[in-house]
Amino acid sequence: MRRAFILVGMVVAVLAFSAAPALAQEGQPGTETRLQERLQERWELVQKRIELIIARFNNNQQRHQETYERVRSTVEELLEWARAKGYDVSKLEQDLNTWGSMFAKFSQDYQAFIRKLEEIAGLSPEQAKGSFYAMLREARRLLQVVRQDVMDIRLFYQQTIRADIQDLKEQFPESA
Amino acid sequence: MGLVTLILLSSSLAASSCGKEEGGEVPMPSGNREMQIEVEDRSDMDSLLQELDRTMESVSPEDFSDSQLGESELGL
Repeated sequence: MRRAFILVGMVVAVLAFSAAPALAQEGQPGTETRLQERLQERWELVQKRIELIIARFNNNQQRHQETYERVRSTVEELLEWARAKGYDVSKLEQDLNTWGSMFAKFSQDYQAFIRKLEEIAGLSPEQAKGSFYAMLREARRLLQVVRQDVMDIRLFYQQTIRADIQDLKEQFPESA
Repeated sequence: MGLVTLILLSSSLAASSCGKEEGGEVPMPSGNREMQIEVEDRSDMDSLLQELDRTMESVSPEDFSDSQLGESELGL
């Protein structure tokens, strides 16, 4: 029984000593300000990272868009040449239009994704505390949509546009 | 009029090219080089297809991978 009293006494003493500095700190007026400053600095760092990420994505998007347009423009020239030679280009023409609409979707989805990143970068530290992770999840979801668009464009080229061009080779119009 | 000249301006492919140059008549698109492919008959379509393939392969879905929005990228 006496041992139990001693043990309880020791626990109370330990708790009292450990809680004392925290209680004293809470009362200090500068602590809250320092925490705010630290939060502000940390958030500014994240904002800068997001801006860099946006710049990198913009560069990638531009590269993709230019590449797709260049390939489409070349295929269109081939199409016009083949049409003039009497080839049946109706399927290639139709598929090129479909492919073009996929570029437009990619561009729209990309804009939605970048708008979300810009929205996150524009948050105040206080706003970020409440909604950063939810918005980041949404940005990641939008990024997946963009990536899927890129995969669709690539696959459509490989399986459809390319096949259409190869089919042209199998045709033998009289004027060719 | 049996000649159409297809011009691929490959001004921005250098950064993303896969380095798969295989030699031959059609050079790998790179740097600010300008490349021309002349299609005179159906056999030239093979060269054109090869070049289109290379151009399409110069960009990758990985340019938009999830990892680019990872916690370490964001400094979290």
